[in-house]
Amino acid sequence: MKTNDLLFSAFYIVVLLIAGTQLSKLSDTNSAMVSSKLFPTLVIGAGLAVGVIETLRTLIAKTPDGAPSFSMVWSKAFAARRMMLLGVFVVYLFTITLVGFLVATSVFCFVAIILLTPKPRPSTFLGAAIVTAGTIGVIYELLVVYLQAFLP
Amino acid sequence: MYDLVLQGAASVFQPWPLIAIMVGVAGGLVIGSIPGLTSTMAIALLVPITYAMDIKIALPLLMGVYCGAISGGLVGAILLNIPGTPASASTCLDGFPMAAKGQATRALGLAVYSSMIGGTISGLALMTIAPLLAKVALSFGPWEYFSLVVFTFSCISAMSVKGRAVKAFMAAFIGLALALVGLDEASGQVRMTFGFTSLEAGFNELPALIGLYAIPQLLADCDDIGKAGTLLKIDYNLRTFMGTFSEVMTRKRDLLRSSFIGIVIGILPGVGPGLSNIVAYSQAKRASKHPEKYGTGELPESVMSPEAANNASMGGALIPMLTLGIPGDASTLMMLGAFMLHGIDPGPLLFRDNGTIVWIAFISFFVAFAFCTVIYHFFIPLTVKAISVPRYYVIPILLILCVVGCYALNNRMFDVYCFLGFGLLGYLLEIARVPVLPVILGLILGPMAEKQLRLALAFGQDSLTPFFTRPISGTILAVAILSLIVPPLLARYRSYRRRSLNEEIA
Repeated sequence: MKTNDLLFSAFYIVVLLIAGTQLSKLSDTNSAMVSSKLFPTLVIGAGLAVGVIETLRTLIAKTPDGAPSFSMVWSKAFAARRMMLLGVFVVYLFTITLVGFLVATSVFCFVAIILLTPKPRPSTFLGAAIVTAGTIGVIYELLVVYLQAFLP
Repeated sequence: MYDLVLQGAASVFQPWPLIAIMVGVAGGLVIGSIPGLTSTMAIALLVPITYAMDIKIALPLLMGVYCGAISGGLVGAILLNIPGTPASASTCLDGFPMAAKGQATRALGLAVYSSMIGGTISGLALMTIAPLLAKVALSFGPWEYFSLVVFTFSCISAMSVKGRAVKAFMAAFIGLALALVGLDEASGQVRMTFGFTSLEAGFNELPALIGLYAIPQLLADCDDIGKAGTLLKIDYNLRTFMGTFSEVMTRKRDLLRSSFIGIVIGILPGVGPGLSNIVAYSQAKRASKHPEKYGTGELPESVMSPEAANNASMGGALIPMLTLGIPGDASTLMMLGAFMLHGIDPGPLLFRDNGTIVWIAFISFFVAFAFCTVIYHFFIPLTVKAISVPRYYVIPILLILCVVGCYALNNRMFDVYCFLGFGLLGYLLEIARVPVLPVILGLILGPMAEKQLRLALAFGQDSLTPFFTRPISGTILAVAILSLIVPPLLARYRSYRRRSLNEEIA
């Protein structure tokens, strides 16, 4: 857990340092009323201070009893089923603009159900097709017909 | 005031708002009863859909979902031993053992009726305290508002698990830093955009809220697929269910104590039903003549106390949200987003400028609880079925709804990509066991903090002294500082006492 905490602290400090590089691009005025630099400087300065304190505290502190190990946390976070869903979802988002919302969503819904089902059988495909058709139908009816909203 | 009450009632007691509340409650009950799907996610999914609706229909719908989803958590807690929402975590402790003894209908009845009473008491508190607090808040200047934001952030330590409070503050700073992105209205300068023109408008709160909550939750839910919960077979009997009402009414003291705890905890920013049910359960156990029977499912008050408290927190959490624009918990944070989406800024001026809207919210809250109780009588078999809907159907559908909701905000894919980005950030935070709520608080309260700080410095000729010398601002800051310092000192003192006691015994 300690490695995990240190990784998070490092990520946090790097993010704030990158944000801090943008501060120099802001011009300042003498008036606090219109200063665009005052609040960002306070936030990033205080944020960095908290990050450094927490990093030092993590280095000094003992690992608490019963805390999950680094490998346990990461193997759970990158579990096959989670990553599969995330991958399919990212691909889906970027194909919406290419093939259109209805086609991309139909394919995503069907594929995701099949991939997430523990032991797919022929009936799973039928169930996935029905759920996909139902979902698309409800979204279209609710958003396009009833609310007259635009679809991606 | 009576005009406003009547106008509010006239708006709510129309066919469409009543249908909206009923649909919201029924949907909320179903969502809340499915373990892992929280009221926060239910409201987050719903807010973009309400965008095109009239606020007089959208608000009752949201109130219905809010009440239904938090209340719905009790079904999973009692029948599956898995709380549908964090608000029902303590209900598992005695609800499931009671159901396992063949008294599932009794356990459900006790929980439902105590929820109704807790919710009604908190509704009364909402109606009496909120207008008074709004009047006081009208005298607030920028110093008080900025101090209030500082106080809200000081409550962040309460949202984190033991020993990880500083991590929660780091999450808040991430939120504050993200709130800086975009055009600064006062100076006209573009900040933190790294040259990307899409970022000049800043991050819309809603894709951030939905992404931070939905993606980590839905990815984590993948682990539950294929794992069968121990669903109890219940022989539901309406007469037995209704008979528990008289049993609930014999425990008035427990109901009042738990409701009071719920309201007080609900009012505190950042904590809500998730904490109140645990505190109410522990206090009920402490006050009980038979504490040894807690955890066995024998005592009705052990099921009633957490349920009365978590529902009482809902009204409590709405009080600071409506009167000060400070959310009481994650769900009210979503509600705050919904108000802002409809061009309404919660705060003391809301009571003056949009009094009817406030009363629509109050009355919808009451009506939602009434519907909730009525619907429970007939929908328990349906909610039992909702628990057993396979997650591999639910997860893709919810992801699609999130995409549609985010796109519908501005009809641009950028918001959908933001949803994904915030989702990945939320997932990283979850891996690091850092709460996401402070990120959202930072994102929403950041602009308010900057605006009020600017005004305070401008009015006070760049002096920080008024923050400490103005009575209300100084008091709020003192309470904020105490709430940061006292809990760790108390914990250290307790562990010292325990150590010395152990040494004496040895």
